[in-house]
Amino acid sequence: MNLVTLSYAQYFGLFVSLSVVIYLLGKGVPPIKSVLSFLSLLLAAYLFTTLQSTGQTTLLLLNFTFGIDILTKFFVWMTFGIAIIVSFVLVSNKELSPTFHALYLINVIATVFIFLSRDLISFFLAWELMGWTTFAMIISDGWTDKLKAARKYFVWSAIGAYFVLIGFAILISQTGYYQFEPILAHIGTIPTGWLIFAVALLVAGFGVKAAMMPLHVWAPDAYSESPHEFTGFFSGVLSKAGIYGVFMAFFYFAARFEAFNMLRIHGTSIFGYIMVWIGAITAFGAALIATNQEYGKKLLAWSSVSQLGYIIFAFGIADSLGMTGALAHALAHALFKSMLFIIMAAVIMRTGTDHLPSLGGLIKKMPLSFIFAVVGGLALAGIPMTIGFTSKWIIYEAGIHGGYIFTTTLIFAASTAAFLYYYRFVYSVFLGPLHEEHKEVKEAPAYYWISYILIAIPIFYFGLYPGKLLAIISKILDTYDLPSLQTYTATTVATPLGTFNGLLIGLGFGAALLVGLILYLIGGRTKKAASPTDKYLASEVVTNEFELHYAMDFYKFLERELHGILKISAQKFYEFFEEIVRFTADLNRKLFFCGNGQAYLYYLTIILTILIFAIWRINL
Amino acid sequence: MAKEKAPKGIKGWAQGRSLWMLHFCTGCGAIEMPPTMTSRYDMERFGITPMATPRQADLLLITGYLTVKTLKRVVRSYEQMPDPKYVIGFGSCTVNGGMYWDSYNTIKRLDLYIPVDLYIAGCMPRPEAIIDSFTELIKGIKEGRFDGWIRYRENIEFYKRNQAMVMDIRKWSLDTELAERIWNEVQEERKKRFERATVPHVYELAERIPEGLPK
Amino acid sequence: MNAIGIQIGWIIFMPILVIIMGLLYLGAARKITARVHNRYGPPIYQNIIDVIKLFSKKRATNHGVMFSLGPIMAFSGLLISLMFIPIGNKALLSFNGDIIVLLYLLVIAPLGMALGVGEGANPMGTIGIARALTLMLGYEVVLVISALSVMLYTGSASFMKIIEAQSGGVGHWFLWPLFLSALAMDMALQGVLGEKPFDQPIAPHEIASGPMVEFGGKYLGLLQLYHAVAIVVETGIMVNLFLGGGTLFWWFVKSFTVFFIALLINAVMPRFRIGQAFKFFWTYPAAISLLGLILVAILK
Repeated sequence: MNLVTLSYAQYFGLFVSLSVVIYLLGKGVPPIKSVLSFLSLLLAAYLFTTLQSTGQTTLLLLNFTFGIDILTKFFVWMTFGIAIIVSFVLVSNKELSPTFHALYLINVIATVFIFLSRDLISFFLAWELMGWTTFAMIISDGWTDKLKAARKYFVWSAIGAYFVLIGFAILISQTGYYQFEPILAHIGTIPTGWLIFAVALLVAGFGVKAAMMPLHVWAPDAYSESPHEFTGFFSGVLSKAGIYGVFMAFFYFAARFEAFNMLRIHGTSIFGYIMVWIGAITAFGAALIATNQEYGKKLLAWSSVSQLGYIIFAFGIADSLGMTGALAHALAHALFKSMLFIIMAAVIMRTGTDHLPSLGGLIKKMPLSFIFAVVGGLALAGIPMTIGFTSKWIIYEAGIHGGYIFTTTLIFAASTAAFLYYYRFVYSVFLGPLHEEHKEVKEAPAYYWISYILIAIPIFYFGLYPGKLLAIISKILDTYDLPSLQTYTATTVATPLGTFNGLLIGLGFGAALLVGLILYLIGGRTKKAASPTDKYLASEVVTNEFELHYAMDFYKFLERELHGILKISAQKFYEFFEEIVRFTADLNRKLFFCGNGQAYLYYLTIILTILIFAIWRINL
Repeated sequence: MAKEKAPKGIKGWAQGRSLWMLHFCTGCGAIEMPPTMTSRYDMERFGITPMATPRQADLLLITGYLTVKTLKRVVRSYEQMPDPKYVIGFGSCTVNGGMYWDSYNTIKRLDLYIPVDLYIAGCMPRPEAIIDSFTELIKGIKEGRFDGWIRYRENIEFYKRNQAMVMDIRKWSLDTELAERIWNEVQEERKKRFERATVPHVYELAERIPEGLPK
Repeated sequence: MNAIGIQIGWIIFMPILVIIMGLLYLGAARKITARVHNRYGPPIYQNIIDVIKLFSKKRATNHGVMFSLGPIMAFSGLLISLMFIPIGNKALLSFNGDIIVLLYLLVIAPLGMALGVGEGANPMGTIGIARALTLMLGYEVVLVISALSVMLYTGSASFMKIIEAQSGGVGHWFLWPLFLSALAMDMALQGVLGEKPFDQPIAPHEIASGPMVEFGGKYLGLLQLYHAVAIVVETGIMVNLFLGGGTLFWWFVKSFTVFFIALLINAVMPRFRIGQAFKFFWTYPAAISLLGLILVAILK
């Protein structure tokens, strides 16, 4: 039995007021703010389980509808899971302001309400609340240097929001309802053109949040400038709100509509086809750009853009494999990317920088962080035994099965590039020679590595038992009458193309590791390197005054060859666009606000002539 | 700890039949290596291949005279090689200085500084001579005759002391503690010896042969 | 019960066989290269001697835990990938996996090695890894496109089904209908095997054997075993996809033939610059394999 039963409005109100409490108490008693925000999130997660499956609230003549189904649960638990872990890590950070903690709580609750809402208006309000609080959090500490990234994020969020708003307005005006259920019932009455227009706007609007190319330009800056621990949540979960939006717009509304599915290329709707291409280009392009980043957070940010491209790609395919792969990858990305960002935060906390060439050799000082950076990297690169492989494998099979030959190739190349940038990251931070100034660096506090372990458990669990994840996803897809993958057991997944057994690979690799270890022990004994400079460098003694960390221009040769591709930049296009707008505006200003009396006289004469002429014509 | 022995049996056989060589091309002897490697003499038929780094090498080939400057690098390379390791001194220069017998900056006897297992006499030794030394080395390794690295470890003080006469072993040795100690001792001795000298000798002539070479 | 016992027997026996065969391949490679260079060359079992020697060496320098773990992980990664490729029509565990699983399992080994090299902290090793990864980005695309065309052609990604579809003699090999893809994959294999002109990651004369620069003794021994297994597995992909698999004997004959072609190119070629190698893979072989893929997509 539940001890308390809250309505949705009370739930929302409770945590908004709690955030005010955190803000006020945090001002007075500083250490309490982070603990309080952590406890509030735990409470939020608990109270979420007590919520009724549907609920309504009337406010200002509007009837807000909320509901919980299995898709909601999937996303909400993902949100709460990462949010609580990030909040747990934040307990050790004393520097963040109470404003940040208060906003963080509202942000998480707003994100949860995006998933809970069952009408367009509350959805949009929650969406905006999430965007605003994120903006405020980016600038909450040290706002002058972060203003550029934050402003970019804000402008793009606003553009996305306008798209969403127009899309919603079309749906509401055409059906006359704003709740999901009646819209769905009346979706057949909307003219095809309007519906396609609306869905296109919605996908574009949500695509901004999901960092879909070419709407991604805000993401690398915003991710790398936001508070370090928070970035795990920002990149891991908030982007999933965009994915959820795309899912709702696309499959909840549009896919039910027969006329919508008439436009087909290759057996998929034309929308899906466009999304496949956008997703593949996003995944590939962002991965290539990520290989050339010199700052850790930027590298991971571009990697996020690339991984979100996979999800968009899989959504576009929209058969049972594609849908399953997309949702699985949404979870996988949330897990490993938040892990890597938290590790990056730990490194920044200990060394004060994420500039890759200035780091290095931290494996000796932060071994636990290194181990989990490898775990996160295994999942990112999609090595079997981790959740990353489960999802990526299904996405590939979907691409091949659907016959998307070029895009699947791009996705494969993106995956290889993921391997490249991941090695650049882990080498530059943890491997290589230790810098003199990092001699005293210590391992990250327990808050950090407990959170690593918490994230690592599902990464391996769903990698070894992919069926457990697919069971959840199949249930979601069945609820929404979408094609779902049924051919799986706890450890194996089968597609029309092939099968794969997670546990068997895990056990086999364990056995192989044992064989390798035995062989290693058979061999003669080794001796420890006499000193850090005991290296073969053409028989020369090279000490620390020389830069031995090969981290600057890591893939210079690649950059040189790909110069043509890397030159194409959406950012530059927007800047060009901005230039044009500025130029025309300037021209306007020069014409009409030139301050020249003679010119004004001319204009006046012309207008008067036209007026007289018009009046004369009318009189005739 | 029991005295380490040179590998015998299958280990010795494998060691002999698969010598990976680091040819330290110091002097003119290096010019004899290409014909030895290529189609005329083809040393790969004995399983001998050149390697790029001392970590992978079993055999250090010193092809010619060693100046004090190169000796430092040779010592470091030798110490970086894993055991068992063998050294071949190539040409007269490594035996007794050869045509550089009165040079101020070359060492004359290589085995005062690192243990040499085989010498190839001649100026220059022909590839036939090199091949002959390789076959001799292979035979000797199989029988367990060559144990240079064991001698080096057991007489490390002797070698380090000799090295300290000509070079700064503190920087170039892997075992820095030992090197530091011996370096200080040698400096003390040196100070005593040159107390009465009017001209301060910065460099001592290389060979001040101590009594009794290590067995 | 009996069938399971035989299966387990094969699972234990096959790696030993493949390691020995791989080492013999390497020995034969040295012999053949020597004959091309008009030399006599070492005995064919030379690499087995090398491995015994490397494992018997003492006091190889150890730079840390990950440094030791790297070669172990490389070797074990290859062993597990070996289980997922049918060798001589023997599906060890490969009825539980497909081509994509294999391609991803093959990544474990280089990753392990790369991490080990990283802790060695030798810039030359890291340059080698950076080159190897760049090369990988080059050939992986070609390899995948070629594999994709086979998958599209048969409608399956399972090795066993692909081999089955090719049963019935030389005429049924996919080499003939998918000639362009096979050609492209052979070009990619040159890079996968790291034979010249694509040996930039090793390049003994530029970066002192690259990733291997700090590895000696048994570390190098493990890496030699890794290399030996890798050659068999990598040529095996080509054999299974285009040359119809075959019984154990014929499988190894075919696999060696694929390796032999790579060797002959290796024996007479200089080395590309890494940028050129990358560009090469993304131009000609990629174009050929894409053409092959388009033909399959149209004709099917």
